Amino acid sequence: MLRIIVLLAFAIVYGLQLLNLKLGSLLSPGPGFFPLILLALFISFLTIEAVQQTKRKSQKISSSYILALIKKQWITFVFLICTIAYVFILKKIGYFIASLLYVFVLTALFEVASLKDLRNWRLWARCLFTTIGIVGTVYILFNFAFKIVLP
Amino acid sequence: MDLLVQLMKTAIDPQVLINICWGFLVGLFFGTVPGLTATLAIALLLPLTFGFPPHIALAVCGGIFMGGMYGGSITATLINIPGAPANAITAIEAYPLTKKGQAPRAMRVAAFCSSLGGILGVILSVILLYPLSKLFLAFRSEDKAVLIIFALVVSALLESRAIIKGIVATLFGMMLATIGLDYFTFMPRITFGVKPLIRGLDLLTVVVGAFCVAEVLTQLGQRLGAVDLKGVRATLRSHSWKEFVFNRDDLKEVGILNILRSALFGWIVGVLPGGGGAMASLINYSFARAFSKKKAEYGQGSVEGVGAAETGNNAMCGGAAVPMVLFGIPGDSVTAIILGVLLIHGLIPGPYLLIEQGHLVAALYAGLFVAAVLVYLTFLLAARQYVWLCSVRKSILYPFIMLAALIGLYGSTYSFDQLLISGCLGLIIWYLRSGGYPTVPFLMGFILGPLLERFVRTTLSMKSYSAFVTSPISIALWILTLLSIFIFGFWLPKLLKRS
Repeated sequence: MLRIIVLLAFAIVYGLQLLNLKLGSLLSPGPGFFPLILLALFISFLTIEAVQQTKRKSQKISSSYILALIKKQWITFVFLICTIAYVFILKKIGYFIASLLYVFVLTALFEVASLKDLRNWRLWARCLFTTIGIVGTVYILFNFAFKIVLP
Repeated sequence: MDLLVQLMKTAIDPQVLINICWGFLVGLFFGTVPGLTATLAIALLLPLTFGFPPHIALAVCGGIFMGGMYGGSITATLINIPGAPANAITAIEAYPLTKKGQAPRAMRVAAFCSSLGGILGVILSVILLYPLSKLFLAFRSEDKAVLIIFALVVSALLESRAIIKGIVATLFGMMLATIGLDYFTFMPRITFGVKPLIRGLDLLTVVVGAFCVAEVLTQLGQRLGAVDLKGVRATLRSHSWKEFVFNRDDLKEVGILNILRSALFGWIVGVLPGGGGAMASLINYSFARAFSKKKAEYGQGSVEGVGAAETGNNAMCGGAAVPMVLFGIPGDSVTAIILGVLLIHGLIPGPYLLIEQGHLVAALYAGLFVAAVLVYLTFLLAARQYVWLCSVRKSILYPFIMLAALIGLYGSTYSFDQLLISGCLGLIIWYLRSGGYPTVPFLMGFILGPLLERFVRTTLSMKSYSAFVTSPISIALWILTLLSIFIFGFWLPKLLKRS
């Protein structure tokens, strides 16, 4: 149900954007004509989906449910924050340092399975070597083989 | 015939051949490793194709496509984990054979049938492409609009288990495609006040978000443990290389008719927009089971079932490229990205592409053809070593994919904004996918939405809305659409449930 709410929110924002566009007529459609049809269809099918979901047993959305979801998906949030941060620091400090930091965090996210692993120095060493290998390989591939100028 | 000659000429060009070979190996690797798919491989390659001549880029894509489609059967057979959804059916029949100590038999049948299916699919496509292109020349804007509606309906029905979710995903893709400049008035629309969105969303940005970022997110969530491959390695080593050669008894058991029927149905599923390998193998498996004299073997390890599924999904590759080349309508997710390769090189799909630049179409089919041959050849050479492909660590693979995808996207757009947009899109698509909203209809909607709008608005401006229901071709396509809704929405799900 949460997904339907998210999609519905998108539909509302999309619909508000449509207010500024000319719709035109059926024989001379404007830029807002086609998006309006899409929006109408989208909301209709979303409503059908919502009705179908309410018939099924579904999880009630409460603050505790959202907190549990965040707890379960913490790794996703860390990944996203890192990716956004990477794009910003890539611009500022260039490919090597930014990529080393980013890939190291990503490798650690895949390697670390429990809190015990945090004390395992071998795991961290493996992460470090993997990171250096990946960043170096991508640099060679793009800079030399594909001749792309990296930031 | 021209296309066949061009295909042969391209296939023996050493430069093309070398590129197909590495493309095939990349596809094989991505197909074999669970979680990685040929779609992801081509998505990663997409930014890099800027630097390649178009015929090489297309040939490489062909190689990756075929290699990836076959690769999934290796893990499906050996460890019961299909490398891709297209090989899920193979796992049902091939893994029980492995458990009975008949892994070489299951592997050789899968490899031979994949190879043969791939070759037959390419031959069928090459023969039928020219007649189909002549037919398409008669299409007017209203017919093209109805054809796209047909494609969108079929893709939404075929790709998803829940039809409504498929339709919502398709419409969501179409809505995102409306962001940016209007094709007719050049007015910015639906930009949400964000400046970088004025130029719209690039296909490349969407592909990286949908197939790379979303996939890494999925894998982070799953965190599967490493598979113990020691036992499998020991089993494979205990067999001599002769046991990996497909023989006459295997052919008898699989059945020539079964292979030919599976190739034909696989090809037809490929031609249908959004069909894909999973649907091709599922339909062929169901038919093979329905017509089989050894029904009791199914589920316990049926060579016939393995043959049907693998012939079908590889024959699909040739078929999937047909609507992409002729109409610009992708047959599945891989051809949707290959379409991006065409667009990056400024090539417009359609009958004129075939007539004026047939060598490019020939290059794509040469890639598929050579890779189909390589499937069996590499199997004979390295079957016992294939298990090594499954042992690559996730912690190496996915960070590499993520970095290569982001840097590749930056390299082709030189825009940091596109990186952020692809990250946000990846999150949205991952979130929707985890709720059962399929990705392929979303991508189809994103690609076909702008085309549909263009044809609808052209028809309405030049003619009238009645043109959509009075043109004979449009009427035929509407009937076909309704028929598809009945077949794929009601009849086929019932049939598959029963079998």
